[in-house]
Amino acid sequence: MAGVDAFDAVYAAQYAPLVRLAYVTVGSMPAAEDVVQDVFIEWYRRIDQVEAPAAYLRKAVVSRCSSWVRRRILERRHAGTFDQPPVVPPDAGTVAVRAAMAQLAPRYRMALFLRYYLDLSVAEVAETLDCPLGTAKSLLHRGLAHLQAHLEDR
Amino acid sequence: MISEERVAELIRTAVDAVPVEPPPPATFRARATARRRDRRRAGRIWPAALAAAAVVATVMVATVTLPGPSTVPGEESTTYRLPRELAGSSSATTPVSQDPPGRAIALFNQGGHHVVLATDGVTYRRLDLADQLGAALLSPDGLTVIVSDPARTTPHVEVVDLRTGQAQRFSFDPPLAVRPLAWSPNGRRVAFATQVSPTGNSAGPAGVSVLDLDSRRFVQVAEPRPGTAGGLVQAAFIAAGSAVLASAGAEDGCTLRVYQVDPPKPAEPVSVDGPVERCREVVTLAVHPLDTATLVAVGERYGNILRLNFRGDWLAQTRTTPPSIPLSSGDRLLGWSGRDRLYATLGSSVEEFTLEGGYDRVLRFPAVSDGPDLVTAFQLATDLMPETTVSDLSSGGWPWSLRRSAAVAFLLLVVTAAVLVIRRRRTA
Repeated sequence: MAGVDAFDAVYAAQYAPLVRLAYVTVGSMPAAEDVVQDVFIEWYRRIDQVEAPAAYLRKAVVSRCSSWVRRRILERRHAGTFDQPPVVPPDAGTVAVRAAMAQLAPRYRMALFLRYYLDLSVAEVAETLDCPLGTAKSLLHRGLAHLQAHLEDR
Repeated sequence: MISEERVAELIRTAVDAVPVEPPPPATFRARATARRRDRRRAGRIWPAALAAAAVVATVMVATVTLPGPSTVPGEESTTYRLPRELAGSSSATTPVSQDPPGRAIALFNQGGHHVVLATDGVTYRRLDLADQLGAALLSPDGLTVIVSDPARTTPHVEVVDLRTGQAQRFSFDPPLAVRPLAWSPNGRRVAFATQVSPTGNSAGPAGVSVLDLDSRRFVQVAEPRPGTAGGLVQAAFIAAGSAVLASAGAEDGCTLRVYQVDPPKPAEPVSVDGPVERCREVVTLAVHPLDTATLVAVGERYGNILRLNFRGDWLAQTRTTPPSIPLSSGDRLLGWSGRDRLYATLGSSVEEFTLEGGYDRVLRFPAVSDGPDLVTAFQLATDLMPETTVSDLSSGGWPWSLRRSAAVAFLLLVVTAAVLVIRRRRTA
């Protein structure tokens, strides 16, 4: 039962951010939900072996999203545009940020999300993206510069 | 420029606007448990599947790589057998080069293919090399076949060993169109009709040459005789193979000449028998096995009439010359059976007949006048006939190579069917 409780607790805390991470990366809500749900199922199968569930889940989501993007299945289907999430119509600032993010490559989007939404350190971003620290810094620097230029223009 | 903090705030706002509705966590736990069960089930299936695959692979590898039966068909019989009736062409399922039949009792042409019949009386094989080259002659002991091309000039003939299926090449110079005529009684020499320029149907004029299989010498023993076109040269060995008795094809008088082999004197026959009045062509001949005199059974054509006559000093052998026997077109002598009987193809059968004219049927050809089962150019390994029994035999089963191929095909079929069934169950 301890495993069930732990699962429920982590699930409650991490599901939404991870779906958003996946959505920012792949640009499709159904695909993002599929990725995150599969990751949670895989984690539950080996829940006893995973010491840091949040980091494990983040890395797994990034890895699966990268695979999806690499296979270009999602890119062909969604062609660099974000599905418009239903229910709440976005304000002008949100639309501008989404438009600016959509112009970035998925890896830049992931780096910016991890750094500025999840408040991870640059080192944690590098670990999650499974890349050197310098690469993570470069991704963040260029991604931020792009957003700053894009949002300033508006 | 917009600050980093402002960008972060905008990002958080934009991402928070993405609505996410988490499904109940129990759903994921249930799916994770179900997937674990599937994997366990798959884990149980794997050992059985691997074991089955190992068995199939072992059987297939063994079937393909293991040698066939330890004895070849023609060597399985301690006594030789002939069927009362030859089987149809469908019985010759594989070629000699692939499945050697061993010692053969007969060689014939059936439906355009050369076929050998093994001494078990049931194994038929296509003599593929003869199908390529055109002419073949079975040795008296049934172990070897001479194969040559009478339709074009070549610098060699092939000798096929029926126990191995392998062909050995014997070369000569200059190239000639050659048709095998006769084996010497000891199986050491072969006489050929030879032409510098082939005449298509290999009818004369043609010379006679002898190949010595031991020394590999190929020497001409008789020159072509002019004016003998239209008929096939016939020849047989006499005097234990040291001389050749030959006719010159469609030569008026049906003269038979004896030529020396050691050393050859192609222009000087040692002796001459003939001419015979009104005789136009020698169509077949068989030399009596008696060593002390040359006695010959000769198929002779007089206009459209064919008769089997006997030549030589029969009176000196304390018997009168046997009476003439009528023949039909296509009838050929196959050899002597002892001193008083002859084997010959008469119509659609092989007969053993006495010098007095009595007949005993040895075997029948398939009862057809045309088509793939029609048998022509029948030859008999006459040395084996004294130990041969004739009985009702049906053609043998599939040869080893076909059985092997069929086994592999069957196993592949089973594996494919199993894979299809498994995949269908999974998708269901």
